[in-house]
This record gives sequence, C-alpha cells and structure tokens, in this order.
Amino acid sequence: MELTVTKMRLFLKTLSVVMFIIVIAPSYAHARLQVVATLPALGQVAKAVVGEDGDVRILARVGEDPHFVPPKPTLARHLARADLLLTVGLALEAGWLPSLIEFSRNPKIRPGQSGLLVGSENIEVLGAMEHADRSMGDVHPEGNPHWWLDPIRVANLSIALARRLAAIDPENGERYLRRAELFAKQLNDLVKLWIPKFEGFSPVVTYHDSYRYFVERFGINVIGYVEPKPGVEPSIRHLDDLVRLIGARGVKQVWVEPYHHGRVARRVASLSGAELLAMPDAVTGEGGEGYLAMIMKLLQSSLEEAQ
Amino acid sequence: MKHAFKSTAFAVAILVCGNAFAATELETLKSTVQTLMDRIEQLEAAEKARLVEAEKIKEARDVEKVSAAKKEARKQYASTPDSSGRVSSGNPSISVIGNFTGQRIRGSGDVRSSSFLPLSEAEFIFGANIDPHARLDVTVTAADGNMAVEEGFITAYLPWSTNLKAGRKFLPVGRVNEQHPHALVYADRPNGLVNLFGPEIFIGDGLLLDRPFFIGESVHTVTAGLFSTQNDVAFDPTGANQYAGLVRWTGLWDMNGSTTFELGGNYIQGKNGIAGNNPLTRIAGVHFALKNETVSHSGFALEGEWLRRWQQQGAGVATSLTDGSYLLATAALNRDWKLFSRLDYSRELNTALSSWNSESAVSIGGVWNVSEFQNLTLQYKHTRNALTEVAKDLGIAAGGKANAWYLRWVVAIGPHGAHGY
Repeated sequence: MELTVTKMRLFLKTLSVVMFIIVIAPSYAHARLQVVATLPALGQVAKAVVGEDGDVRILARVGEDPHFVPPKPTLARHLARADLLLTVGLALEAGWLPSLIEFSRNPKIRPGQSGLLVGSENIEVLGAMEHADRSMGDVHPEGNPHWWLDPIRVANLSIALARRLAAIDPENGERYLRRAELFAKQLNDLVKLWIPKFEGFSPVVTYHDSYRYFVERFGINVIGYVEPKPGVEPSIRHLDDLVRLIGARGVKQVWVEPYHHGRVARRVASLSGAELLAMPDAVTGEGGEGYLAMIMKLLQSSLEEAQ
Repeated sequence: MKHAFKSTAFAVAILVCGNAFAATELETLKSTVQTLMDRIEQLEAAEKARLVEAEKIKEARDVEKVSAAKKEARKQYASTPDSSGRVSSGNPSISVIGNFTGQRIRGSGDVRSSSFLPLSEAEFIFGANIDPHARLDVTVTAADGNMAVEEGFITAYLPWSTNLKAGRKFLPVGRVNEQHPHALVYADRPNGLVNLFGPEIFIGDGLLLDRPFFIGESVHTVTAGLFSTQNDVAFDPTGANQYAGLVRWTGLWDMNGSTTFELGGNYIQGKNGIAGNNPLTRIAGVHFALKNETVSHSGFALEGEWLRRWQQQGAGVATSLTDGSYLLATAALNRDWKLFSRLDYSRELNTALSSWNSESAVSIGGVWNVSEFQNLTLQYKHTRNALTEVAKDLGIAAGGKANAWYLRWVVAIGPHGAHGY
C-alpha cells in the first residue's frame, strides 16, 4: 500500500516535470526571411522573387502528384519556421496541407493570417462550378487548381507575392518588387513569342484536366480525358470511346502527367496511334530558371512532336 | 542646401587657392573640389532612390490593405446565405464515415459465426475552429444500435507551440490506438491490443499537452497528460472511472526523400480498482515504423509495437503481466492497391505455474481503394491458443484457435480531412 502510493507520487512528479518542459522549452528564432511553397513550381517562382534575401523551402517533390503528397511530419519543420507559406489553393492541397500547418504550430501561416498567401486568390480562376457532388468525381467546385501552368497568371502571382513580402519584410521590399517585375516581364515576353506558334495546332487528349490554364493561354484544344471523371479510373468502354474519338478528330498527342504515366495511358496511345507525351507540372531547376524550363519543356515537347 | 554646400566648397577651394603658389597644388585643389561635387551628386541620387523605395513599399502596403479588405468582403459574402439559402461558412465541417464489416469465424469447439456486411459502425465527425485560439472536434459513433460520443475534445492553441487537448480522446498509446479503425489498412484490431485493452479503443477523458520539437531533419513529439478511463480490461473490471497519467515520445526521421523512420515509447500509470488497497496498472511500450513511398505511390511499410501491462491484483496477490505486440508489413503496388501481412503475438504470465501462455496470429489481406473516398479490404486471420480477451472477442474458448475472414467496405462523405502520417 505504502509502496503503491510512493510509486504514484513519483510518477505524478515526473509527469509534472515533463509537462513543464513541454511548455517552457525554447521556441525557434531565425534572422533570414523563410518562405515555404507547397509545390516545386511555386517554390521556383518564390525563389525568383525572394532571391538572396531569404530561404525558400518546398514541400512536394518534383514528379509527385500534388493532390496526394504524404503529410510527413518532418515537412512541418519547414512550416514551423515559415514567415510566408505560398499555396495553390482551390482545395488542391486540402488532403495533406492542413494537418501539416496544424502540426507546425506556426500561427503566422494559419488561414486568414498574413503569412499565408493563397495563389488562387490572386488570379482569375477557371472552371468554378455552381453545383457539384462527388458523383462527378474528385472535382474542385471552387475552380480548376492547376493555374500555375499559365505563365501569365504566374506573372501576376509573382507581383502579388512581392507585395506581400514587401509588407512582411519592408527593408528588402524594393528588391522583391524589382525581381518580380523582371520575372513577370520574362514570362510575358515568352507567351507573346510562343502563342503564334500554336496556330492550327491539332487537338489533344489529356489524362486529367491538369492543363486547362496552359491550353487556354496558348489556344490549344483539349477534346477528351483518359479519366472519365477527375480521380476516377477509366472503364474499358470509356477507353474504347476515347480511342474512337482520337481517330475521328485527328488527335496526334495524348498528354499525361508523369505521375499518371502508366499502363492505361500507354494503352490509349498505342491503340489510337497518338503520341504519348509526358508533360510535367514541375521540373528540377533553381528559381525562375526552373519554372521557365518547365514551361519551355511543355511548349517544345508539344511542338516538336507535332512536326 | 545643395547650392550652399557647393558655394562653401568653392569658397574653401578659392581661399586655399589664394595661398597656393605651385601649379601642382592648384591641380590638387581642383581634384578635391571635383571629388566633393561628385559626392554631392551621389548623396542626392541616394536620397532620391530612398524616397522612391519608400513610396513603393507604402504602395505595396496599401495594396495589401486593399487585398485584405477584398478578402474580408469575400469572407462576408461567403458567410451569407446564397440563392439556395445555404450558408457556406461558419458551420463546422461535417463528414460521415460508413464502416461495413462482414466476418466469418470458424473456431475450436465447432464455433461458427458470420455476418454479411452489416453497417458495423457509422462515424459522424464534426470539427471547426471556435476562434483563433481553439478548435472543437467531435466524433459521434453509431454501432450495434447505440450512439455514443467516441471522441470530443477542445484543442487550445497555447503559446510556445504547445497544444492542450481537453475532453474525451483516443489515447496516444503506441501507433494504432489513436487512429480511427476506418483509417487502418486491416479490418480487425490487432490481437495484442485486444488482450491489453479489450476489443474497444482505449479512451480517456482528461487533459493532454503536446508539443513538437524540430531538431535537424527530425521531428519529435512529446505528449503528457492526466486522464480518467473506464477501461474494464486494463483498469477497473467494473468499468468505474480510474485516474491515470501518460507520457509519450515519438521521433520521426527522414531517411531520404521517400523513406522515414519512426521510433517512440510511452508509459501509463494509474490506479486500477481491482482491490481495495489502491493497486496500480502500469503500461509501457515501444513502437516503430519504417515507411517508403515513391512519387508513383508504390512502396512499403514495416511497423510494429510492443506493450507490456503490469496489473497489480491487490495485497498478497501476484501482479498480472501481459504482453501484446504486432508486426505489420504493407506493400503498396500503386495508389489503389495494397497488400499486407500482420503477425500478432501476446503472452500472459500464469502466476500459479510461473510460466507464460502465448498466443499468436497471422493475417494476410489486400486493400482496393476504389476512389479517394471508398475502399474495400479483404483479410484472413488465423489465431492459435487465444488468450482470454481475444477468445471472448472471437467467441471461442480460451486456448482455442480460430480462422476468421473479414470483408470491410469503408465509405466517406463530406470534407473528411487527411489521416495522420
């Protein structure tokens, strides 16, 4: 009896010490501006704007499906130190980002705070739906979230990002704005140069509705998808219909995201005779050069294969 | 100011020139004047640049204010009823999980039981921020015709990265206990946990403090708290409330971009109410997980936990000792298909004979994720020499063996968030 009480008292004392340590342990401090981007392409844009005046970390990996990033708690270590979190928005990251923000315990990047910049709130969104339910697949009623494949929207985002950074870090504000303006000009020039090259371009089929912003910018027509509905695996019947459509409409290219580059996409391409093109939504590369390399890869791949 | 400075510079130069006789001195003075003139121009240019920069930053701040105002307006618009009368924000997110699990059991003593995909459990999950400082999450579960609040807790966001959870919660013991059953890859509960806590999840009402520590490439979470529990297997056989404390540590390391390693341990201690002289129940355990997931969602996971329970039985009676453990291997073929195998091992000390009674079980199964919101699991489990709690759960006599088949169909509607890693 006496021993039991002593053991319980000892345990409660130990427990109190642990709880005290949990509360009083020191927090993190850093001098340089810390920016975190959810996707590689956004990270490259952020780096183009931040330059040498801060550090940029990226949560998803190149080649990873942005809808399904494993929410490893180790990713939250970047968020814990972030002054600004740059996201795509439109529920693209809804399946994995909220738990990481929660785990990071960083109040600056919680929804509604100045440390969270949702990219989609700074661009014109396409594909918003008034009515949607899950019988339509994994749709995004707020709009198609793949806007970062449009260089003009990204140009606008980079200006918005620079303005937000200038508010957070006024000392370097002018440099952020100058870099963003330069980057935006590069993107605008690139679009002006490439739009005429896609005149008369054959329609394409894509796996998922990932390229909507890109094709609308460059005047390319998408006439079908390998997925019958977003996030839903295709049936044999749907694939049969799609192969017939490809033949009837003279489709020469089937575009597929690297993370969908599998048996089904290859089968559609081989049965229809269309060229299967892996069209990445991110490539490795540093800063703005990396983002530009991704856009150039999309543009060059589609034009080279069409010739 | 500029002219005054220039005039002064010239006056100084002329005055000095008046006393200068050598041509070289004159040249030197001319050079000095020129340097001063250049410096004046530099200072003027720098001042002009500073003013432009300040103006731009002010403009940027104004844009931020306008943007924030627009965002606020959007929020206000979003929270007003739309044309259909719906209010699109301000309400908690609500999701419903349907867990249909059928089972077919054949065991020693000619035990036979089966059920075909009954709605074994429906979870109604509500959650929302209360204000910037706290959040409320409630899970109401309907099972076997009864409804109960399975979890209901406030999360208070305290300073210093600390969260305080107050209310009813699945206790953070090992890896599995804290997870909702529908989030597990298998359809049953590991035998080791059934032997330690019974067939239900180990739940407590109380306060839990937790905080993550980010050290290098790793993250460590420390949890400590006090709770009361009505668990009738580990604590009070009558189901009366007993008070206990808990400490837990979990560390997670990135091995590379695709692989993580997790290691953790926990300790629980509290009075168990088995006898009148305040006997204790103590539970200690370790858990680990090695996970690999490529960008194409194929990969593997090896995870397990081992828990030991010391249960004092009262004065003069030997302490009961029970171990419960499992080892789970999962292979993800792609995003939609997974195969798994699990080994369960439990043992309890027979104090009369001073020997261990051991139970083992092996499971194999597969999971098909039909879409992001529904999955099907088929599992086979063979149990040998079942200990008391598992035997009760399977409907067989202690020491018997059983073959069990499980078919589980889990569906989710509503904005059900991601499960923990």
